[in-house]
Amino acid sequence: MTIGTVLAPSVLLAAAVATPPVPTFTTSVEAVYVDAFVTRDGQPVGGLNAEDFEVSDNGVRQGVSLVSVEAVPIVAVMVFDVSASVAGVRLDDLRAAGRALIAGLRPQDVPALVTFSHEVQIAVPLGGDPSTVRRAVDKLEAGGHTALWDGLYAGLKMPVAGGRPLVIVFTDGRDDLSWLSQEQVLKVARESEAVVYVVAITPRYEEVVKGASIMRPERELVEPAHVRLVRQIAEATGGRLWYAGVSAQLEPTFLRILAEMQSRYLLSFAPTGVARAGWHRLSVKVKGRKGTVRSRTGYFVAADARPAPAR
Amino acid sequence: MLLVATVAEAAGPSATYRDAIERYRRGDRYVAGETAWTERVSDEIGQLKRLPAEGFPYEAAAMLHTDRDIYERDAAEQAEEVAPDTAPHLDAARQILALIRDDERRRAFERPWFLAVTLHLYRRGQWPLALHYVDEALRRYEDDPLLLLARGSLIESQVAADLPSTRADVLVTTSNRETAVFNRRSELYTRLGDAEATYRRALRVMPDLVEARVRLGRVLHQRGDSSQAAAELAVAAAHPQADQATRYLAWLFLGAAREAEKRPPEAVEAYRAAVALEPESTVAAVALSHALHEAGERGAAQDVLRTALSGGRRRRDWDAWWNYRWGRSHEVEARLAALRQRAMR
Repeated sequence: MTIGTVLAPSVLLAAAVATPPVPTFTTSVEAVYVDAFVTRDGQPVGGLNAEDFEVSDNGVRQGVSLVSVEAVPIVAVMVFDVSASVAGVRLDDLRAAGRALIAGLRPQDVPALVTFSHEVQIAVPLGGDPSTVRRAVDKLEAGGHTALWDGLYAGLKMPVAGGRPLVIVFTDGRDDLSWLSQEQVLKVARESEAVVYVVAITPRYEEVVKGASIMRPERELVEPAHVRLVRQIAEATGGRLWYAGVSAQLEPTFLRILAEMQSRYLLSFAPTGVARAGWHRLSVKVKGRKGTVRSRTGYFVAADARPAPAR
Repeated sequence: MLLVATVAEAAGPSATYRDAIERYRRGDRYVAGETAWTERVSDEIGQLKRLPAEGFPYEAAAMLHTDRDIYERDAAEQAEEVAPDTAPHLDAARQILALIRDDERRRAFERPWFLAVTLHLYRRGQWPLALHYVDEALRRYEDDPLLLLARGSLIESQVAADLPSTRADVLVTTSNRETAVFNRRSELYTRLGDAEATYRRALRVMPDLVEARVRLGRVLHQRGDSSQAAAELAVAAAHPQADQATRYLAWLFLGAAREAEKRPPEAVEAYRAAVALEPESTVAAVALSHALHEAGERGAAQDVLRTALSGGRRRRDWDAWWNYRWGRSHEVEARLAALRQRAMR
């Protein structure tokens, strides 16, 4: 995760000051933040320290420190598919899952709501209180086509006022009307500070036919293209794709995402030994023990990026 | 007596069929939903071909069959069944219209009928069948710009639906998946080339058909010739005869072409023009925001979204982009109504 476009970790400043010994950052220090989730045998691994992590920036090892996630608010942007296929029980379950997610947030966390069908709406921008978001969730209506990429773009571009941005996308179909392409949104996601989780109600596999002989075609199960694309976006940000199976699973899935977000590690480092501008490939590992780390694959610094003013 | 009756029958279609046509001609559209007259259609048309009467209401007969096709497709839709991918009643109508010997009379009805039928199938998503009819029409009326526009739009719509986003979308027909993906993309590229050629034909006949120029620009952009696309789209955007929706699309597509040309400021400028034309459009706002983001103006990109997408209400029911893949198929009812009116007089 990069914060303040890498240069200005002011997002974390208030929390850092309020809760010693969280490090205090200033805008004079260029800092990169990496939101990482560590698992072993599918279970989250807790209790790690900064020295347990090995972080490389474009192949160059970096010295890292750990920021307390308890102190940092989660900025939870819900991006919900409200196209026609969601109408009915699925929408009821989505409303319930949205309410549960809002209820599961801590007092310092900040929710927002973006919806998309053929039209994208910022139903509740950041800054509103949770009850406003809850009321908007209750009023969700379904209809129309699916502009998934445009909706996800709007979620990624929500101005994060402070905290760790989390984008939770719900969809049950494939995009059929976006202006933006999935490649364009993938690029924006890679450059964004958000961790993206996608919750999909869709078949995991579809059958395709292959084989040189038309008389003896071989059949193969593959991940549907639209699922693969949202998974790519989620994984590029250090998030993941969840299959909800049926809509009744939306609520436990949302809560699991929230729990996962609260189990993550927030690593910080000041890049050294690497060129400043351009794409930075990140590698995060745990040292001396078994574990799988899920984190964003890199970050981007524009050539003309300037430190942002402190807030 | 029996011999006379047999001769009379041999001289024309059955009384049931004639009666249905006559009722239709007098304004009874409901006859299209009845089944009695539909039972021996190929025989009836065989009989019609032997009929010397120039005064026969061929137009009414053709529209009766056309409305029968609409009736059957409506019924399939209501029953949530797959609509048939053949159209025997449209084929019957086509054969009936071909029987009109007077060239002027036939052309006056057949040409708009082909366009209406193409749009009718287009709107129902029966694109291969629609393409079959528009190709049939263009064999007879090769320079009709509206038929050419419909053909190009249909090809674009089919390509958009078929365009594989990743290899997983490809129905692999060889053991080498990479080759299959390449072949598939090449095929789609070729089909877009067909659309490009079709729009160019339309514009040669009617240079002021701005919609064809906008679509030509988009197809050129999709085929990778963004510079040429931008040139066509700039002409379309400035054309005095462009209506608001067409001009809006021209600016939107010009923005995309400029982005592909790596000219972000000009992309932003084009998208701003689209927003100025349609301030309520969320599509244009998303496009402008993304162009600003790519131009490095991240704050401005957020501002555009906040202004355009906030409010928690559905802003519009219609956007030219949402309907782009449906071409002019929204005109179908008006075109069919005009044909019915002529057939029923």
